[in-house]
Amino acid sequence: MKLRPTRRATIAVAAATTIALGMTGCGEGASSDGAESIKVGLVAALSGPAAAFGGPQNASMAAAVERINASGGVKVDGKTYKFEFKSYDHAYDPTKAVTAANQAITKDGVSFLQVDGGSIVPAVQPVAEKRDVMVMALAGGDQYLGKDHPTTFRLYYDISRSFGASLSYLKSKDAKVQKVLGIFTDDEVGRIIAKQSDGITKSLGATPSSVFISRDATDFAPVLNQVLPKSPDVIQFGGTPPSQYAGIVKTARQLGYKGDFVFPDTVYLPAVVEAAGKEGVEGSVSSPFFGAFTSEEGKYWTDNISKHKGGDPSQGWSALAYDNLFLLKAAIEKAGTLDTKKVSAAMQEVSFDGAVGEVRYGGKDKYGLNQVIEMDFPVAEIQKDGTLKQVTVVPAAEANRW
Amino acid sequence: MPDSVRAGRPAGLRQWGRISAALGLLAGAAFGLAAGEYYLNVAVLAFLSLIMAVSLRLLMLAGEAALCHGAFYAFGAYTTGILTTQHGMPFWFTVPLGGLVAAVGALIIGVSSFRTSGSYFLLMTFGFLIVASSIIESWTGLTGGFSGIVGISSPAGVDSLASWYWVTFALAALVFAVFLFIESSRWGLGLKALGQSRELAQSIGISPFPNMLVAFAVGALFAGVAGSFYAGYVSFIAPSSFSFWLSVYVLMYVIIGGSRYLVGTLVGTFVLAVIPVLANWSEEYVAIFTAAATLAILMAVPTGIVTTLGRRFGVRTAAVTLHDRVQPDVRPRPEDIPTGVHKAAHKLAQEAPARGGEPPEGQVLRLSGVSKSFGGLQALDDVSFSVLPGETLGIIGPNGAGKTTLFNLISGFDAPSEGTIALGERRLNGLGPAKIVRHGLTRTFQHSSVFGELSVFENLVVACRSRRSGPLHRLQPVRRDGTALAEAQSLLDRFDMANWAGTAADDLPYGARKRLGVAIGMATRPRMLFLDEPMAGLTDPEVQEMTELLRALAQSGETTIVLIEHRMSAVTDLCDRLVVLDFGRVIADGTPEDVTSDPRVVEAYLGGSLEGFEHV
Amino acid sequence: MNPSIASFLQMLFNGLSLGATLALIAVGLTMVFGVLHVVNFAHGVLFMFGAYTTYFVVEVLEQSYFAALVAATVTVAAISAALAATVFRRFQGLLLEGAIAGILLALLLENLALVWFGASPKNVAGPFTTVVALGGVYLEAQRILIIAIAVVLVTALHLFVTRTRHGRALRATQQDPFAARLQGIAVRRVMIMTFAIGGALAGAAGALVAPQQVLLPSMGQPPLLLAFVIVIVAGMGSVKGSLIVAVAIGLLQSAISTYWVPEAAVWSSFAVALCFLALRPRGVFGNA
Repeated sequence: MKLRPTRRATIAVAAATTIALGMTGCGEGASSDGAESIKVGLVAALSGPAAAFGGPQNASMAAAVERINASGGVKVDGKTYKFEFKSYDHAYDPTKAVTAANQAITKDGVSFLQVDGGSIVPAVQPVAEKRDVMVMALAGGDQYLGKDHPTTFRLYYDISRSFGASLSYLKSKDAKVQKVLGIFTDDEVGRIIAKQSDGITKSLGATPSSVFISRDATDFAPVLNQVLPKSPDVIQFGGTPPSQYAGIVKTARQLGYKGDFVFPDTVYLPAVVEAAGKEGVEGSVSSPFFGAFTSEEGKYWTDNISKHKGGDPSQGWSALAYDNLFLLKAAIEKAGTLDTKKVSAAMQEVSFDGAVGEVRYGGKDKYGLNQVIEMDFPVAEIQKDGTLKQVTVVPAAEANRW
Repeated sequence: MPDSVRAGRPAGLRQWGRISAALGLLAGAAFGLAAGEYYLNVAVLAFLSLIMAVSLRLLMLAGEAALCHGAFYAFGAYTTGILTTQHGMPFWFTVPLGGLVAAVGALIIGVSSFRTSGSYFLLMTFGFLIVASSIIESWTGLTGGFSGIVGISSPAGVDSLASWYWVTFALAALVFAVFLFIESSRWGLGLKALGQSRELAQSIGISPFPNMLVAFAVGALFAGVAGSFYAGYVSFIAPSSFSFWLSVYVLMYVIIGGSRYLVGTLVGTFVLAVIPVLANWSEEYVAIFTAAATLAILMAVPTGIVTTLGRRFGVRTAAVTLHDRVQPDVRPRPEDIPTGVHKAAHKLAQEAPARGGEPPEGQVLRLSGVSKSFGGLQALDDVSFSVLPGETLGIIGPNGAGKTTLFNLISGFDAPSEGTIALGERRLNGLGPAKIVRHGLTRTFQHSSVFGELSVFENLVVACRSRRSGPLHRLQPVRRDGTALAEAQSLLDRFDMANWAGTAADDLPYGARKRLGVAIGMATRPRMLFLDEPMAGLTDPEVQEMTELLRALAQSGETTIVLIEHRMSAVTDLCDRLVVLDFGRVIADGTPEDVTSDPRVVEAYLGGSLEGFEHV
Repeated sequence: MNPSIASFLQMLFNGLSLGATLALIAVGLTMVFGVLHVVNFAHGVLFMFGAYTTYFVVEVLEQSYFAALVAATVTVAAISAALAATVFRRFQGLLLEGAIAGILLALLLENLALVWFGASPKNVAGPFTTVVALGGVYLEAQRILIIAIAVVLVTALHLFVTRTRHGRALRATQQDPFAARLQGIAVRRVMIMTFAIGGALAGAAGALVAPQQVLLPSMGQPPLLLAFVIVIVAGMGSVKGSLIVAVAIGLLQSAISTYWVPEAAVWSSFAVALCFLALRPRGVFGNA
């Protein structure tokens, strides 16, 4: 019956064969000039709803590669290499990320891979580790860190420490600040941030309380109606996405909340100003503040980032991806080899005076290896005119004590 | 056309089939040896998508589609993820379990929806998908919530991309072969019949509930297995791996491929799942492209989701190969085939004994005090009459008199509100249509009288009731079922349709389609055949032919004929007895002469003239 | 006021305003089903278009919010009618194919919106920022507006359906398309009109909630899910039933968010809908 493939089916199979054989031709198109270049890749959401995160990372890495190459490249054992950069789209889908990582690693020979997204890193990690490719995650969560993953790093700061930096500033401004309400996303990452934030709140002498909101919630009045009667002094949004905290800020003001907000994951200012008005967010604080880089690299980054695809000077957080490549360069040069295991070991020890300030990898006491980026936390306050102004910097050493 | 039907091409086609299968396998092997790792990865994921698409397709043959196929994939993946990481079970043990968990999920959702609300099945699966993904997201202790499960180990010996390629290639080829086999079996043909016309399928003894339930569960089983392999391959699973759109994309692979050929699904998967990846399209454009392409296909063939794209060409060649399997000694030589339609009746009378079926048993069908009301409307009111074996009974009455309702009650499509229907000593109340047909009562339909997209020959083969049942027999390939093929061939000849064996029933001339409807009814070997307006819409010469044909059938003694018909001259000509219904009541019961002169009957018809209804 | 009483009244108020929004969406969904027997999965996209039209009129053209409300209603009604005339017309009575066509349209339009409007959230300034505080219960003016406009629109719909010729044609078609055609009703026109009404209500709903939340191309999905639940529980095609159930589901959502965990709200409603599909597929008010 139907199982007899028809002539049409035969043609289809023949076509598939041709294409298959054709594709085998483009099999391992490895480039031969590999000796002269070090390939770094980015696997990120470059399309789809989360594309806003991938573009700035892409630009920052491209800018760093350009600057490093222009200033003499990477010197290993008397030989000079250049970085070669390529980015791959995962559209925030783990399955696509696996394909993208395979393309980067097995087809294009990338051995240093930056990966975007908390639910993406665990999918890419096995592909990378099988071939000793270094993973640099710009992502929340920490389940992918630890001694079992010595070639993985997280170039994403600790949100709860950033919150601590902001809260300590608010406390110093007004000692009466007592009740801190945290609003978190109702998932694992949100709960971890909540737990760590609660500890920091207590160690700063304040009283924490938390509420969790669903990822797809759009109407926040029901939740706020419950928690606002407890009259918190400060509301903080550890890790909540801008689309949600903008709505919460708006609704909270409508419902008569008078206190300040803390945005510990760098505020997306246009969203909150538009949602609540300038007066609605005046006095609220955000950290880490990446708005006005004063360092040399920071100025270079601000001036040049728009030249690269996806670059946006207002997305200062993405400068971490810029600084990280300098750390990588330093680590490769320190290791004196391209062997990723040795580079990873060296990566734990180098530091760099980058765009966001001095950066290094730390967290040995927590993860067993120095795998998480450490930086000073600049704190900024929202002004009357709706702009951010840096008010203080909490050094990494202080933040680490909480 | 008849020449091509009987020419030697089928064998050539079969060879072509084998050659292309071999070529496909060869291409797969060559690809595995030569392709770079990136392409191997793309292929591994494409193979898993193919298994998903092929397994979803089975239920779509029967005319339903599920939106929760991604959930079954997730069930398999989570079963493997949880058992290997939390309980240290070896990968290979978890694969069948993954399939099993998915199949159980399908049984739960299928039992509750196919039995009561079949028409909302799609919504039901949608709801199930939402609830299932919420459970996966919320049951953090078991599933890891949004963070998912990391570090799922590969099966022993399967660690390189190349080895994954061979494993998934073999799996996909195996699953493809399994589904080819299923589709070529009697069961597969039955599913296609269900997809064409659910009520006609029931009236030839194929009940939707168990068949669709099993098809759904089998599809889910394979989706679960594919999910297990996905978990092992990627080694990480999270809710974001199994979004709602995954289920939609799989559905699109099947739609694009068309349903007639399994190979179409292969092409559909390749077009939608592989090309955009290789071309590195961004997510929005992939979505726009696939949705627009699928929508265009859907609009071009609105009823064609679950049927075919290349229908005419396809149906003919498929039927040719099947038809070729008929034993030569059963098939008449070409010169014996009569060409004139009018000869059909003759042949019927001649060949009747050759059918050699059991003679109709002498049981009387009795309706006593049967009533049926829909809400406030009394469709049938205290109807009592009997049908005697061997007689030809006409049921007449104005539109809305309750004739078709009466057939629905007798054939089990509806249950009477009051009264009993009994065949001999056996009560038929409460039995479903597929059960009733096993007692020898078969009905036809005025509108859905044939399986439109199936060839004429398949229409008859699927209706030829096999005397053996049981899972093994159902899975017998149709082309090996010599008895059914021979019976179908004999019916084809008796009803003078041999020239149309390979034609899709929908493409038949109207008169031939009506004749095929009667032939399908006869294929079930009924004791009593209930024909619902077999002559509606026929031209006068065609009415004459149909009358002769039915008379010959009645005279052959094989079956008792009960028919609803408005053509009064044909009815009076054909029937031994008439029952007249008006407003749900029997107003006359007797010989045609008595009945047509009954003043109440004349009164019931417009203007007192029976001829007034001749052409309604 | 006793805090628990205040919290209860607050819950009622929030539930009513959510119920009013859901009613506007669900009524269109159920009317389309009644006339065409098509489950319109693209209905959520219409809601999203209503919100983005409001954004365009208020923030880009800088017109008043009420002008935007009218513009959104009219624009989305036109879009919906166009979809009916081009796509859904082909799927009359084809439950499976029509639903799949709706899903594909939703995927297509949502991604077009992503390309056109971008993925970054948009905001619309509402006409009111007033909040009336009554003894610990906060009554936002926008929510009062939502409830008021929903009542006005539903009343207008009721008058249209019962008092006008077109409305009677619509009801006749809903009961029996075949008989309606015999009586000279242009079924196709009625079908397009139904889609236009459904679109108008969804567009108005989108415009009404736009000032309350941030706009994203995917914003139509959550309310559509709840509208499905409503239509299923009420009985497919029952307008009156879906109004009542919409308010009930709004209150239930609000109650679950207030007294239980917020993320349980959607899936628990869906579990209820599944039970209805399995046990009583014609719903509470359905007679199909």
